[in-house]
Amino acid sequence: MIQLGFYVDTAKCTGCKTCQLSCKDENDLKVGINWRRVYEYGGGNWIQNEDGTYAQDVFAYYTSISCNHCAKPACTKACPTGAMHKREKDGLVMVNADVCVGCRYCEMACPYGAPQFDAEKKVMTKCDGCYDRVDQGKKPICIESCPLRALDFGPIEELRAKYGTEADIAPLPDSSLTEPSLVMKASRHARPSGDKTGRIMNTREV
Amino acid sequence: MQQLSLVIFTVLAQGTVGLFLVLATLLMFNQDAKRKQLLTRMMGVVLVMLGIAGGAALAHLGQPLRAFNVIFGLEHLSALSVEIMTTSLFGGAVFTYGAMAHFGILEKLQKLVLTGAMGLGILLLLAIANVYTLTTVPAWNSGWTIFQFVMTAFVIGLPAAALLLRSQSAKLGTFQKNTDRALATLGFVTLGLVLVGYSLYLFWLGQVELPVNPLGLMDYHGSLILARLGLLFAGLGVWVIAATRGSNSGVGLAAVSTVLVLTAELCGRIFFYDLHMFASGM
Repeated sequence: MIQLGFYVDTAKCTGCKTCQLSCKDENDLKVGINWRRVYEYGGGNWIQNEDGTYAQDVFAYYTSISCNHCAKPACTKACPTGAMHKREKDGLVMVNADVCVGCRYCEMACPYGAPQFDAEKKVMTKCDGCYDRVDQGKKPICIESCPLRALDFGPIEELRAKYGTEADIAPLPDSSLTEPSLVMKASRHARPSGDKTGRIMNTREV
Repeated sequence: MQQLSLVIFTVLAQGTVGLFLVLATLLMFNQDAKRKQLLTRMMGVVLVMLGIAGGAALAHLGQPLRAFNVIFGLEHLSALSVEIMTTSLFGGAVFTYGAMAHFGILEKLQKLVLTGAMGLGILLLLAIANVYTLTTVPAWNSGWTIFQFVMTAFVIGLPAAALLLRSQSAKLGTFQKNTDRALATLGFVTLGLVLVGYSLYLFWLGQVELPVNPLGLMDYHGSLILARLGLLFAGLGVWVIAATRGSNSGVGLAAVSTVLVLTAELCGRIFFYDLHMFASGM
């Protein structure tokens, strides 16, 4: 089985959110439903120099996250109907909207905020890896729309061979929880998962 | 609050299991036919409460008409599927026992069905806790969730059972008085356990690794925690103290007590659901 996954370069990402918007446009997502979300992680402090003066070490960087199509998804394990399932073919995690009962338990379980509830249709929705575009040999719309070329998509083994295996960058959770199909590149400010020196700055956007 | 229906479902279901366990225990050791009839009739209250709880749970679903789809989740042992199935089986077993006892069907098998229903009731308490001990949700993923969910059964079940028995005190005679005293003693032990337990739980909560202070999430949380402890103390206290001093048949007092503890547990559960967050803060 191939496992498809994402690559996110936090050194290149400027937080422009073109990926988030192109995804909303391609998939006709309503206000409040974001299959891809850009988290602004920031913090900093005043550091006292030896001569008694102060300097600041303020930092901020962006992590663009959709669904990581995890190897051990918390959502599919939680789902009481099997509507949330992992495809044999390419490891993409999808919702069968005709089976979903809208209990929102997957939303409670996924630490990445990937399941997004459609309040009108009363069922769960989420990133489907643009499987229709992938079938045509294209990449997902978020990847192709990124003006900084900070995102990539493909078989996770290829991505890991090309970019490494980092996936534990704040504010993302410890990757051992769900084993996400995700490779991250750290920016020079990047903090490890579990970091307490910063916080998500744009909580109302994500 | 989005999970209000779940607050109602979990608290009512747990309280119902507690009430049922008390009534079932009394029935297990009962030899009197008249008493059995009265106690069996009280099972109707268990079924009604469970029905309200089930209705609340259904109201939480976006697509309640597809509720039967939860059977598919048993294939991968989804905690939610197991919980829903256990609730249905428990309700079914209580109903079966009630019908058998009421119509006098298969006298010898009745206690077996009753034992099965008691087992399912205990499983239901654990199954509900199992839904919320998610590895990705640090404030929920602990033995404290199980402790709280099991204690709710005692906290509500004991005064509710005392209330039902007191309502029939004229017909039940000394049996009711003695049972009330026994229940009040258990209530006293429960009160001690929860007051110590819930305080320790708050201490534990304060040191969980979370992106924000779990005790300062909402402005109303301080009052909610205090209200819960106060109502619990008042609710169990008035009944236990009066009962141990010989007042064992006042329906009003037991009713006030039941309402107070029910409110206390609803406050506690609202606080519990508010604590849902991931270690990452995402």
